[in-house]
Amino acid sequence: MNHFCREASQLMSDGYERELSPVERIRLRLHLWMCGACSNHGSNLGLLHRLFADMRKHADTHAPALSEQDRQKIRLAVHKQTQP
Amino acid sequence: MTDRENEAGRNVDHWLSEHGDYLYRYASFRLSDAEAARDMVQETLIAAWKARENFRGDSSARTWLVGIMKHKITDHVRKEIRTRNLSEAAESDPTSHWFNADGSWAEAPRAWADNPEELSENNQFREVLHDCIGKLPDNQRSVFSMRELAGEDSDTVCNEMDITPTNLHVMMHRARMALRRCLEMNWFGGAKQS
Repeated sequence: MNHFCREASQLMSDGYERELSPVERIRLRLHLWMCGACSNHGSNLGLLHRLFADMRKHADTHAPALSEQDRQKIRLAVHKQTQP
Repeated sequence: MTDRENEAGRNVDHWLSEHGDYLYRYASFRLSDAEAARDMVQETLIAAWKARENFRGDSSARTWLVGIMKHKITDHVRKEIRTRNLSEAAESDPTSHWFNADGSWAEAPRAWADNPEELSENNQFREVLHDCIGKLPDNQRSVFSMRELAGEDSDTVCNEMDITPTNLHVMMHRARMALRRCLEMNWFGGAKQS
């Protein structure tokens, strides 16, 4: 028997990138109804999606910043390029 | 030191201190690569200094610098995608590792118990997440970061990176598969079995 799991995983990812066709949606929904592993995969992707949305909302709180060492490196490199 | 050199130093130092972190964050969210992000800041400041005559002050210096950085990031990622796509063309589909020949899962994904709001505030989890994103191949890492960390829409990523929607979908699918697996191994390992 051929399983639909592999195609389903691609469709679930595609669902975040484009609108699925009605046929794709129905095939996926029927499959998820029967397949626990793909359901879990779908829920995990959903959790990741919500997580990233939440992280974007609070991006300022955990924003990466340049270290003093990075700044120094940049300053030296830029000065080397910009001073004749 | 001449007046011109003095002015150059003042501009660049001022840009770096006023906008350096902002630019670094902008690049980090799009590249998920600390070293590349620092290089982008550096290249942006050099390019900005060389083009300083073009800055008319009708936009803020930050907007102008971000405009320059966008081009730098686009060039960088396009190069990554070109290099990687060439080498990937010779490889088999990496997602085939996750599935048996009959299309079923080689290892069934498990249910994850956590909720995203709590996770996003968990420093240890964020570290694991960024490690997992960092392990993705260059092209997937950048495209994935642009979509999910920077929140760019699919059309924008395709246009800026000059890739087809199909190409984007394949990269995003591969990135999601690898990321989900990496997180299951390194974080959700103790989550309840389905």
